[in-house]
Amino acid sequence: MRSAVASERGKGGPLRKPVPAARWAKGLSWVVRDPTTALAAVVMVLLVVVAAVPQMFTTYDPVQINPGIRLEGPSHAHVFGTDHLGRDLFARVVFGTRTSLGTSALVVLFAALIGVTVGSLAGYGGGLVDEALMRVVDLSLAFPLLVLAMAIVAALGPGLRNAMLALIFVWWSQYARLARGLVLQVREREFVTAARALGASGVTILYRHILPNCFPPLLVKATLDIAVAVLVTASLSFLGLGVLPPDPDWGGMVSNGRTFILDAWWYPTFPGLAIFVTVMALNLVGDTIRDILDPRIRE
Amino acid sequence: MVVLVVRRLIALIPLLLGVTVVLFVLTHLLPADPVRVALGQDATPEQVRAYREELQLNTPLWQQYIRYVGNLIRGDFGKSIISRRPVVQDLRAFFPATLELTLTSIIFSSVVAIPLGISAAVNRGRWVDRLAQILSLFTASMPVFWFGVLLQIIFYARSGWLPAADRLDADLTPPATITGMYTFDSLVAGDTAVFFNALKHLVLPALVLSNINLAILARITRSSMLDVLGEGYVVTARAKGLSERRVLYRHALENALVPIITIAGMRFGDLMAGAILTETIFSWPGIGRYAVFSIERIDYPALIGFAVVATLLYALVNLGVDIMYAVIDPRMRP
Repeated sequence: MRSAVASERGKGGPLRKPVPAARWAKGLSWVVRDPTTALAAVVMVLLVVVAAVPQMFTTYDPVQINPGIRLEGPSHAHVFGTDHLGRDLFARVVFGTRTSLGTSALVVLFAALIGVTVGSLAGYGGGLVDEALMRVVDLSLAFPLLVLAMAIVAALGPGLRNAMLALIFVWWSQYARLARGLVLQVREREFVTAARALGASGVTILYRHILPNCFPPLLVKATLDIAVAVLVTASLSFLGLGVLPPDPDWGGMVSNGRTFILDAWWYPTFPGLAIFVTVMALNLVGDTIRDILDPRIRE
Repeated sequence: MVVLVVRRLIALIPLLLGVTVVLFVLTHLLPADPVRVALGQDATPEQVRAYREELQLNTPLWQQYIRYVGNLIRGDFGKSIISRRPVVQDLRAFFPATLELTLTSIIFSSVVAIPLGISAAVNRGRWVDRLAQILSLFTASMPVFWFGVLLQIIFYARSGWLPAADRLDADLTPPATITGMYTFDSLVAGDTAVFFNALKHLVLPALVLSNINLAILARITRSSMLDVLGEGYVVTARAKGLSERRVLYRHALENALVPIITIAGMRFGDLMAGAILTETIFSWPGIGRYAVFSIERIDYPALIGFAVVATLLYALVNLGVDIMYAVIDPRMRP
């Protein structure tokens, strides 16, 4: 990969203006001054590590049933207690991290890819293509997200794969609208005109000159959306539409655990806490990225 | 104005057709057989065949769809496969519970959030502002269903202070139906015992649902108030010697309302999603719970009926928002 400076100076190279390193550095020093965000970043890194190698963090098997120790409270041996089948809750929460983060990241990634493709084609192409594509987008934006996702999963049948498909299906349109708006703005800038004057093809202009300049707002939306996706996938699982048992999943654990609130408060509490902490960390990190990439909205 | 409303109502037609087509096709693609689920394991093949015949499930999909849309235009959502009652009747029976829950939560969150947002704007950077910020981060990160379960643990399982399910204690009779909202109906009937019991049942679910909008409303109120507080007319109002209260609520707030209402309208979808989860947690017999029920039993006429009503509500709320603009701000009248 060429460095940002080289690509700016390079003959015939894209005339993009990347975020200067100085602004990142300034942004990062601001992170150090803000301990909450720094903590959130540490939590985020930790969560990614846990998702990558969950077996490093627990010696228990998350699906191993052990009827002798049903619904035991938190103890030294079982930090989060055990569930109604005697499974170690900490192990289940740890192994659930991968499902939760992985699913959410994939959903947002695919929604963004589809949405940006459609939106940028509509924005750049204009005319009839734009009109047709945007009517479809309007249509899908008119539905409440979770309600439609629920109905689609219900129709396809519950399960993680179907839940992801349903979420991508209801989510891509938001990216399409955002990307279209951004492309329309950037299209009128001088460097695009310059590239066109130099004889660049439409595809080159769109992918080398316009899209890279649309990237920051899309990245901010994607980061913050992963937080929403964690909540929505957990909600689907809570309703019995996401991950199927016995696979460990946070939303599913809260759902199972709520039947036992009279005897075992820890059962729904800890998996829910995992969701809460994850989403909060993602929100804080997302806000910081937004502040760095777009200093105008920093107060 | 009338033109705007009519045009928006016409735009609803393709939208509703879209919802029904997507769901109709998807539900008919699925391998599970709703008739078998409805009749149970012991049903004989003859019974299954007879019921399929009765539901006209053997005709081609496009014919079923045309028939469905034809009925829909007349306000007929078909019959539930499970309860065998008309879906409209079911939705009407479950809707008041949802309305009571959402109205309570909208009122509660506005009453708390708007003064909080105003106070945060006036005391910018001070502790109220800080508190509002922390609150909004917390609620934005809190899974609705987990918050509900936590409240159940604290106020029901541990202390026994509040009920965790249903709309009334089992030994009480619901009030005569006027609106279907127990608190309102019992108050009209003058039955205080039922009123207070219904209220007690309403507290936790309403609190959970309010959690969704409270922080956002407070945040928008804050930023929207900050925008108008520097305006000339606010300075004038202060210079005239009006009380601070009158300046804030009459002069500033009224001008800050447009963005607040816009955001509130945009978040209505979240409120609906929240209602589905809240009703599930608290066994609240509203249309959200009805939807989850029909999903579990692949009762697709009921499910599509719910989706149509939900989409319609969502669209109408957004239309209502646009009309309110014109009412609040004369400059926005078309």
